[in-house]
Amino acid sequence: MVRPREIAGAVLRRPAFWPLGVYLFLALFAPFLTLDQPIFCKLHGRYLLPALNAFLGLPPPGPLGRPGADAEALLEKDPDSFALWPPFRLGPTRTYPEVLAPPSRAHPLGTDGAGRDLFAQVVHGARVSLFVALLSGLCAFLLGVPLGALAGSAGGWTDALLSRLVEVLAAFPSFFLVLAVMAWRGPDVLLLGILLGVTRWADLFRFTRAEFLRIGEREYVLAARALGMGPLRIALAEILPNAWGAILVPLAFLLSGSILLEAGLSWIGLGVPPTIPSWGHMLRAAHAGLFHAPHLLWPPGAALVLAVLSWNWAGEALRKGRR
Amino acid sequence: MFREILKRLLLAFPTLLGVTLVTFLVIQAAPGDPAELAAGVPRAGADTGRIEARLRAFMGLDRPPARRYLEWLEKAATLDFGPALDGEPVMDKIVRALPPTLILGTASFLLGLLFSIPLGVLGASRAGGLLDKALSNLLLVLYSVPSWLAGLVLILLFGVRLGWFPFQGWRSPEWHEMTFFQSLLDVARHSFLILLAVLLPGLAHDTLFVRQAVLEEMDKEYVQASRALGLPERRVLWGHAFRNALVPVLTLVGVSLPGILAGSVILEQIFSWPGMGRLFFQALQGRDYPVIMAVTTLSAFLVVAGNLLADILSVLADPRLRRHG
Repeated sequence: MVRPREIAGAVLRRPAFWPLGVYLFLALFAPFLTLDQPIFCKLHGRYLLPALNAFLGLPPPGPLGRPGADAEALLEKDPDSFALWPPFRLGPTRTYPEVLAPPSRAHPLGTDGAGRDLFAQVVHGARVSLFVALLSGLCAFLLGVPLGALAGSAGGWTDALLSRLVEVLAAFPSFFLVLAVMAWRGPDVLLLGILLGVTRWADLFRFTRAEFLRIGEREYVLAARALGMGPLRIALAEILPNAWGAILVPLAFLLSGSILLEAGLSWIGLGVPPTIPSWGHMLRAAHAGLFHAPHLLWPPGAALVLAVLSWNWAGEALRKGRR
Repeated sequence: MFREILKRLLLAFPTLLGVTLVTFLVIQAAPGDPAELAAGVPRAGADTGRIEARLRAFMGLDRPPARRYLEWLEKAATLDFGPALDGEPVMDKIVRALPPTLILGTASFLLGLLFSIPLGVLGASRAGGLLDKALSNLLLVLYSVPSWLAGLVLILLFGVRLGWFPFQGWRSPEWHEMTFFQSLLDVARHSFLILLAVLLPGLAHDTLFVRQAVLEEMDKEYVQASRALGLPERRVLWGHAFRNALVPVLTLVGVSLPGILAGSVILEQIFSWPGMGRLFFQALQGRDYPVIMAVTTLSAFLVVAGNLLADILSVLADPRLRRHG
């Protein structure tokens, strides 16, 4: 029996999970690390939390939200103001006068063709990447795990029917389908995450089903059945807690795949809306500037590979831990 | 097992039907149709609605969707996917896009097998050692680089900076003036970078897969027994462990078969490679529904055929599977 706390402990002790931890931290707290607005400030007698608004995806609060408002200039004009800034005062969507600048002290990774800071874009790009990946993971989990558990514990016709259904799904050219749907619905973060989940749950289903079949034959499950426990209770209380290890492996690889697909679809222009910083958009710009601005390629490229790698490392470690 | 294969063969039909039906429904649900597109931007004074209605009747779009789907199926069964939006038969377009994709797919498939099997067995034979750890981690990094990002990096390094290889299109504009061998060399030069980009992530995945499959066999008792009997390590590895790992490896071969023809949408875009991926993407942008239907159907067919092939190969490789089921 594996408890959540034990899982958390095992995760923290294994170096293979640390890169994932760093990636999750950067993605979650991007607005508190680099933003052209303070974390906490007093302006015109009001206390504001602009970075929190950015964290929640809301427009900046109060006077900072007016079009063309510059937080630094506003705070300077108000003598009775103070501000706590993030470690880097660089906004991901703000355009700076330096266009296509190479790395410098002001812009650690340089700027793109519109004068946007690459460092801020890379850090904030992790947010949408993580969101899409987690949403796809959630959708795939909600479909694959209950259905896999049902097929694995019910057997018979239910199992045959569900297994055939999943075989059909696995034969589906899902990337083409996602492309086709995104092509007429237009770029949309929610739709993208959901589509990447509902088309790719076959592996989760298979692993869950196999694990339920395997554990269902154990003595303690037989004992639980003999004691008169219902099938639902057996599945939830006896089998599922022991099946987590097997379920998490395909989930980790699913999430790393979602990150790649999000970047790829955004590259094509059918993923994340162009107003949201995404590694796919940055790589698209890097492709256009391959001849005159090669410095555009490395930051989003490295970020993408490291994010995917952090999930793959975690998945690989989970699989090894099971052997 | 032959019953099993027959069952799979029978299952292939509903699978293909399902794929075509869902694609058809997805296309039906999309706003705007080819007639609207062909009628163009509404102009003042022109009765766009009437033009569209006549175009729809001409294209056969005014009939009920169910009937159109059945008619499409009937034709598709004979590989006739009808005309594309520009009037050219869809099959001609596909036949034109096939050679570039086929060259790329076959080369990366064969090279992948050629390198991944020895590397994977090597890794498994040194499991836990420094070489294996370094190799595994390097491969996991390569596996995490999408082929199109690898393509961008390769273009930047070897195309733009060093200028060693061309990276646009699959042959030079003056290819028809070349002798056969010159044109062969020309295609090889053009495909070098894109081939490397396709190969690296696939090779990494396959090698890790082979390593895992062999490693699982190395734990078994018969391997220990053959070692105890004094067989040389090479015979243990190739003659026993690898032979038993062949079934999962053959499954991998079957599963990667569709990749030979599928092509990559983004990679072909980056290299201006006139293959299937680019054909699909252009069809998508132009709402060329007959092409979209044909390409999805073909790729689903390949996936089904690949799975079937994997099953048959497994039976050939492992006599035990013949007795069961």
